[in-house]
Amino acid sequence: MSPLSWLRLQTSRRVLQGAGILFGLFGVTGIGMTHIIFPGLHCYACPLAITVCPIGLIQNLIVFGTVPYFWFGAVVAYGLFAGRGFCGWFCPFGTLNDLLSFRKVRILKSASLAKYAVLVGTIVAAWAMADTVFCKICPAASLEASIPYLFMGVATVNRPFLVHMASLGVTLVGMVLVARFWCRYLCPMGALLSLFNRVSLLRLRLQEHKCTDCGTCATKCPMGLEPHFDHDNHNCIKCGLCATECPTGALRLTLSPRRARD
Amino acid sequence: MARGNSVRSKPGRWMCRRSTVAWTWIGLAALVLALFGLGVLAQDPILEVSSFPDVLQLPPDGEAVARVFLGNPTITEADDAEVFLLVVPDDLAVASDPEILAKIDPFSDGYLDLRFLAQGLPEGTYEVLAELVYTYCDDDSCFEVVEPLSFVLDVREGAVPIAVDSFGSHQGAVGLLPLLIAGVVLAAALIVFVFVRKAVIVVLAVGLIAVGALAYGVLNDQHEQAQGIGSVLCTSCVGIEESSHGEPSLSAATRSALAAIEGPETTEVLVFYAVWCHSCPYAEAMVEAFAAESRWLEYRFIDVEMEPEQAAQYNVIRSGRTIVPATVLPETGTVLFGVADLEQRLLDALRRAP
Repeated sequence: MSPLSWLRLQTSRRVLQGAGILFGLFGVTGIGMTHIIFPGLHCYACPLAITVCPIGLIQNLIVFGTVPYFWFGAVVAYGLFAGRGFCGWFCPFGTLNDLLSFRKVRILKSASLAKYAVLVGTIVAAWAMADTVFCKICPAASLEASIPYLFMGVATVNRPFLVHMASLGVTLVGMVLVARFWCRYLCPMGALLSLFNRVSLLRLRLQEHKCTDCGTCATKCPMGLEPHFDHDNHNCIKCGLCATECPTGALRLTLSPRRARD
Repeated sequence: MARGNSVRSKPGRWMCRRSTVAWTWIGLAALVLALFGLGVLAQDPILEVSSFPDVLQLPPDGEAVARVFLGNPTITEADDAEVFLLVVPDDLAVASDPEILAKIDPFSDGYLDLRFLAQGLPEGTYEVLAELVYTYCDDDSCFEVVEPLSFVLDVREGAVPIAVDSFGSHQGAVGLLPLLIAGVVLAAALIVFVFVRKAVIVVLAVGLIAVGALAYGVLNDQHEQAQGIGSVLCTSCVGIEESSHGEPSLSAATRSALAAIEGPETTEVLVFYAVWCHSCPYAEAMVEAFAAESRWLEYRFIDVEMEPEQAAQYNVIRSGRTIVPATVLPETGTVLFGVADLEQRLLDALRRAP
């Protein structure tokens, strides 16, 4: 990929990630909670949040016994549009993962299935205990709710606070040791969006005749994937780092409907 | 990176994988359809009955309305729903409007309003027992279903009943019809897919279902519900503190400290709660226990979802989020969030009050 288009793709991604953070913290303007479901993992209890966390919402709806039509429609619409692209381009917690992506190692590939277990566990726990169990250990809530409320004088240092700090600490250490640790192995929102990853409009295309199998892309992938022979993986967050680094331009990130042979 | 051993998927293999994916889709869809089919066939012909509000608050000479929602999630029509009163306190008249709900269509809902008219009822809590009777007819055999109902009345001087127009005419989403429509759309798309072999058809169907679900959710005010969930924060929900259950019992020290506080005429304590909040009943019980030990303490419980303007007035909103449970002393403007160590905090706050 030419230097100019590298700049374009990765700069636009950074700009959109910034927009994601800005959208997540739009409460500074004082507009309060809106009807929008956030397309990522972003705590609705965050004092500056204006959007509803999809994972928090579904737990509440399960507790209330509501058939989640609105939630389902929003999540499927997000999924069909970009799949896990939201993880790589928009989600603020994903951006934090991104900023700590030092070691893009390819390990524990099958452990990435754990996030589906987290998703199912979140739902079952909400149903069985009639409470938002996942929120009490969610590291995004640790960062976006626990800490701010401590400074606002609503929270105190107590056991639930320490549980939050422990989960945040473990996740941060994980992120430093393995790039995108949370997104790879544990994020329930990532698991939801993963379901749509292979049918979404935003996708990674591989032009096989251009690919020389050099494997450069695999060294750049923060999710530890090998785009040169598995460009349509359920874990791909469509960050486009493989495409920007591909020496022959065989990989491209496109926003278009799929055809049979893509 | 290792080059030699990488196995590239050839076009042929890729196509093969694609049809495997397609069959997975078909299998999943068949499973979903089968589940819905079973759900419809195995249904008991029973209405989903719920009533609102949980506790009717009314003054000794006033009136309050309870709405009994009747949802019919089945494919059979229900007829002649009527409420019969069993136990009613003296000085209370109850009327049903309409008297009989003649028909509740399949996958639809209706409601009966019960008007409670107190005629000099002494202050206190009362329970009204009643039963709901309705019939189901299957061809020419009909049978009668009886559901017990109970209503809790909280009669207090100055109580304000909840306005009837805030009740809404639905209680949650009723029925399997939207799910059935979604299933039919998906099944149709899969049948077309089997002949045309274009995955885009299935994706479009899923997209269509998503848009339909969004629209149906908005029609049922689920977007408002989502906003409501986001804008009220209970202290134990995201782990700001642990939730407390059960009845608090005041320590001897608190009791004597309360007795030592010089009796002002009255001090009011407000507890802001949400119906789904786990710790709120504990905060309410704590304030009740305080009131039992002191003649001068009066209290009021306020549902933040019903009376958001009160929440704003008494400053229990922090950066756009109403936080419950919140115990408020309007006199000093003290706001106590949560239930951790509430006994001591409330006592300290009361001591500081004039």
